[in-house]
Amino acid sequence: MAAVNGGRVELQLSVPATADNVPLLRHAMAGFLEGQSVIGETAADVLLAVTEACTNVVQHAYRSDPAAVDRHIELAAECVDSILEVAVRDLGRGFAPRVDSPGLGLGLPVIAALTRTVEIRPLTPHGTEVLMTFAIDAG
Amino acid sequence: MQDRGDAGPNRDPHFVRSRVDEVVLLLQVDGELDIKSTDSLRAALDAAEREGNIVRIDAAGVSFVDSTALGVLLASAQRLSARGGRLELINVSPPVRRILDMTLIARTVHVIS
Repeated sequence: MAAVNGGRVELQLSVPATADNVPLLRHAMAGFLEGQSVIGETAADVLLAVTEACTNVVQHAYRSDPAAVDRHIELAAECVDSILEVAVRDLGRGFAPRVDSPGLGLGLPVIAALTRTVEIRPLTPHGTEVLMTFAIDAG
Repeated sequence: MQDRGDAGPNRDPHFVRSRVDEVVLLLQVDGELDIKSTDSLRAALDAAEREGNIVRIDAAGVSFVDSTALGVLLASAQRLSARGGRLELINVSPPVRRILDMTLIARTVHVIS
């Protein structure tokens, strides 16, 4: 849900990590961007990067931990001045090489090409966060 | 149907004209192509590949493509290419064109502006 927190507008969502929920998160992000008047190529870049990060969670995050109960994707976004910060988090056991990956392995390179900065960091006690920033010129 | 000129021994150029009848299957796609729609995209391409050597995707109604969908398109393009065919994309919107360019998939899939 979008909320105003101390003058900053935020989006916070957590949904089960399923393929069906990836477009749901993208559409929620699109609504948030529209509310911030972020449109055009910038919005398209954000939506593609968010989709790639969420798809990584569905395809990889919980594979090494099939018994995980809380198999969720968390999406958080915040606009501060002309910077949009977007975090995609999982509660899995981290990235692991996957020789049978169903994708092209292009997710992270695409994210890197679309973002101003991107960091991938472990969460405590477990999980991974992909933290992306974008320069926005909201109308 | 060939019209072969007289090649002769004098090394003058000669020209062979032949008609190649290619079967083009037009696949109109609408919507968003991502991990949710991967299976339906793959099924549609599999069916199209059975009917034509050239599969031409009209992407005018495609508003979104991610790298998962690109993987499905690439696999189809490689299968078609292996048997002398090709995968074409026409009417590609600017956002879709952007990921195609970014990933260099246009080297394998024929993107027709």
